Amino acid sequence: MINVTRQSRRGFLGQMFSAGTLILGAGPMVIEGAQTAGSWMPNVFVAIAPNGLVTIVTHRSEMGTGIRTALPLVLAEEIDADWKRVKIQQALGDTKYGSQNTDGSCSIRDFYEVLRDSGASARLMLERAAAAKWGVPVGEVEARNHEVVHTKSGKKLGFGELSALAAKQPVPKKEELTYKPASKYRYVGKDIPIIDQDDIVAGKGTFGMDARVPGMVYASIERSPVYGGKLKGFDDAAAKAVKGVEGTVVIEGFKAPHGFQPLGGVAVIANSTWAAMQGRKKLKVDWDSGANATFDSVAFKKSLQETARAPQKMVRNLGDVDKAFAGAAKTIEAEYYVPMLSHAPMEPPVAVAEFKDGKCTCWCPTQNPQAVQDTVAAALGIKKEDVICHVTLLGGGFGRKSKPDYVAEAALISKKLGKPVKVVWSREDDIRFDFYHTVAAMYMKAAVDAQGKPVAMLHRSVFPSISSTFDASAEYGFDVELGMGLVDTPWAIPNQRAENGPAKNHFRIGWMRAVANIYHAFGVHSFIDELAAQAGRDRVEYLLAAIGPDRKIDFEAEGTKFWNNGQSLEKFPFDTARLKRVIQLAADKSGWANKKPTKGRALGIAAHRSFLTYVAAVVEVEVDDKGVLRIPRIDLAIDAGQIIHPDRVKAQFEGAAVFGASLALMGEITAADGRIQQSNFHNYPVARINEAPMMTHVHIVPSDAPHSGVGEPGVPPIAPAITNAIFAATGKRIRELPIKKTKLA
Amino acid sequence: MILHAVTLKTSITAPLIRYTPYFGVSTWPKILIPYRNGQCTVLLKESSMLKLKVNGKSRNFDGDPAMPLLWFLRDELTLTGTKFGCGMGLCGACTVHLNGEAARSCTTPMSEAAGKTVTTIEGLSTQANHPVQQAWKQCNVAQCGYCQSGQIMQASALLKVTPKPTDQQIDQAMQGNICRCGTYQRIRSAIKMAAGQSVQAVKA
Repeated sequence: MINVTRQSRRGFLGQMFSAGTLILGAGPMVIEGAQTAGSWMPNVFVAIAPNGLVTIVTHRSEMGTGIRTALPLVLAEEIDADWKRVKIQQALGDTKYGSQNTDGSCSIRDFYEVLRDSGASARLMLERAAAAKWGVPVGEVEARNHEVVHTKSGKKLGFGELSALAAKQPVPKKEELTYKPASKYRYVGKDIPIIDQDDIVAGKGTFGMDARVPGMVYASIERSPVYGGKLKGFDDAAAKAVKGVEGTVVIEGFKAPHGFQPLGGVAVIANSTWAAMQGRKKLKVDWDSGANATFDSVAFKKSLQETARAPQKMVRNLGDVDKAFAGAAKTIEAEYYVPMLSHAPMEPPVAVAEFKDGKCTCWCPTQNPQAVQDTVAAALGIKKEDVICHVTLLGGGFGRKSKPDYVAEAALISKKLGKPVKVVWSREDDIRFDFYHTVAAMYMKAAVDAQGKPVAMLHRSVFPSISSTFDASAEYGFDVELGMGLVDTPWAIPNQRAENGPAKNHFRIGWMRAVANIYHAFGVHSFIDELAAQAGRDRVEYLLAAIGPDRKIDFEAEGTKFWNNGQSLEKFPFDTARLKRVIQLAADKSGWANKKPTKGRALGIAAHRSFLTYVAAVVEVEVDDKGVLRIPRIDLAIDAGQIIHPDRVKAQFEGAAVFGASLALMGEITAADGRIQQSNFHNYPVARINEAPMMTHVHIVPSDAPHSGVGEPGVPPIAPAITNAIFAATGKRIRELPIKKTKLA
Repeated sequence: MILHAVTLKTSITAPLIRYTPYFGVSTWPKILIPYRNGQCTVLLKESSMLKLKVNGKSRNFDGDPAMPLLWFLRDELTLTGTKFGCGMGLCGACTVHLNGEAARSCTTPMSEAAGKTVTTIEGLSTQANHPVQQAWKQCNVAQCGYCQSGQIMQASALLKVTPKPTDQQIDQAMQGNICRCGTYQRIRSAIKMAAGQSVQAVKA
């Protein structure tokens, strides 16, 4: 029997972004709810019933990437199952699967091999069972489409018929496993529709918002409008008078660091969502807002920018930047600014929890069911194993739903009331109480020679860090953030320095799709475009020259601590040849050479490696006489290593183009008096069909390299490619997002 | 059987008990049983119920007439294909057809839905085979899928009025429906496919 256990030497922060290594070993296993009695479970990911039904467990969360389909396809391919006779089962939260934190664009990277081995192992056991039954050498039998065939005689036995016999076979060692050649693939590399498609199109998919338990009540929670505010008192008489309202429950505020704890507040309990929301409006709550009540994002922006103008903690140092600046023919400086952003998934946070007999069962849209277990267990003072987490479909996640504060809210209320509770966040709650993508100020300086070629470069970045989630005193960025575009610039420049300055958090800071790459890519790839413009050179040519010769950047040799998504540089080198290849491909496909800028219409380029994937974006913009901006076309060239599901990969990059355009054009969260000033889609707009890029063409570089990230790496190059295009079209250089703050006409 | 027992304040000094002997959450009592000194009298009374038709079925409602249709559909009828996204008619996730036209159910009070015909995603077709649904599958539009019920309801309403929409008409009709995953270009392709127009680069 095979069990999959997790081995990780990294600390918690590292785990959030990187799944660690999975090993196959011996141990018992169960597949929850495997519906057919007598099923054989060769490992935790697959069960074969006597009737031939193959159940594949999908342990990662589905938030739109197609992972719930892609990983099971890998197993189905390797065992050679008939996809029509495969049932997909969503796993409960359980460490036996390894990391389930669907985050950091690592599901395929970390689990392709695990699912493939699971399939190959089960197939070999089926083949051995058939060979033994027929008394023929195992070399004469092979699995073919849900059956094992004796190639000489043509005898066949179905997977179901063999399951009981296969269960008696010893579990093969990894060295014994053989794999299907790619030429025989029926699923991997083919565009199989996602398993949830029919349900989604019929309105039948079950999202967290749709979870329902008999006898459940609904809760809507009033929270402190200022981060860290404490409840002083409240009057719920008017709330209780609302028809359908059953009462109120106080949720204690968090203890620093906030982690994933609930913010605390007053929950109004009712017999319907609407009644709970109406009752909540009638609550009178008195808060002690505390130290953050004077926070103002305009003043804070100035303080970040001032910090960025002064020397700060060195996080990368090559050559001698100061000397190069002093002796330079010319120096160029620029400052960039990216505001706070909210994830705003279409489904706001929501969770159902039922505390009963010392155990808590949760149904929720979560990216990380094991974090749900940890967080709920800590909140209720019970054991992690006593938290049962069912993962529903997620109506978008983007990193927000890695943080299960909303599930703990439901669990706490259920424990107090002794009945199941559904906590529903309104859109206003979602936007006002997010774990925000952080604000960042950057300062850049370059020295160029007489031809405009850069000889020295300084990148300085200042931002409240995600670390503050786990360490209330944290003020500096940590490896993960610094390794997202700050210390890992690709330039072949002899003198380079990166610095990081301190900034305190005044809200919960989280990670949002592409994380620190968003602001670093905006600063770094805007600045290289500025240098190209000042040198009067073609920007693609200048970019390629700045990246320089083909090489694998040796961060260790240069003494730079580079996180590299928790992966070795040996397996996932920073390969400038691959970066240049995507730049050339995007330029070719967009017709860069033949589309010279004209007034109001131009192309812009940016290229960025993140989540171990290389992406170049060429964006075409049109700016009319009134300053109205349109994006008729984007060409994205990507090298993400081997690809399992090309259509879903394209879809992720199409979506990333919209997500990137949205934050570039209009995304901004601000605060005054410690209160977030945005609340819903009228004042926190996100891109609509008429504002989004009209058409994004995704060009995949065929690659044998290891699988790398797909969900996030499309986002970072979009914003700088747009602003670089705007510069080419209008002469206006945008150094502060969102673009809507700058008049383009 | 669902029992609703509510104590009402009336001119009668003793408690008045409401009792409903019907199945189903949307069916409210027609019979009032005033209770005084152990004596029961059965009264028949006209109710102030709202009536509407949802996916071909007659439904009654006598809760808060200000409650949005969305919550009636979701919490009472368990038609959860219609989604909650913003509560302000800003995102389109809650789009249904009200007398055949696209409407935001999150801002349509029950009082306004009364007497009307409501179609939700569950009632758009019998086998999820409306041309728009078929085109949605053909183009693999959905990513997370949360907004897609609303997108499909909006698109099908568009095609009823404008069978061959231009890009501008699609922009006009669909701009109230947000997709945070960014499936817009496939939505556009799928609408054109459902309209029988040539679809360029559906899978570009």
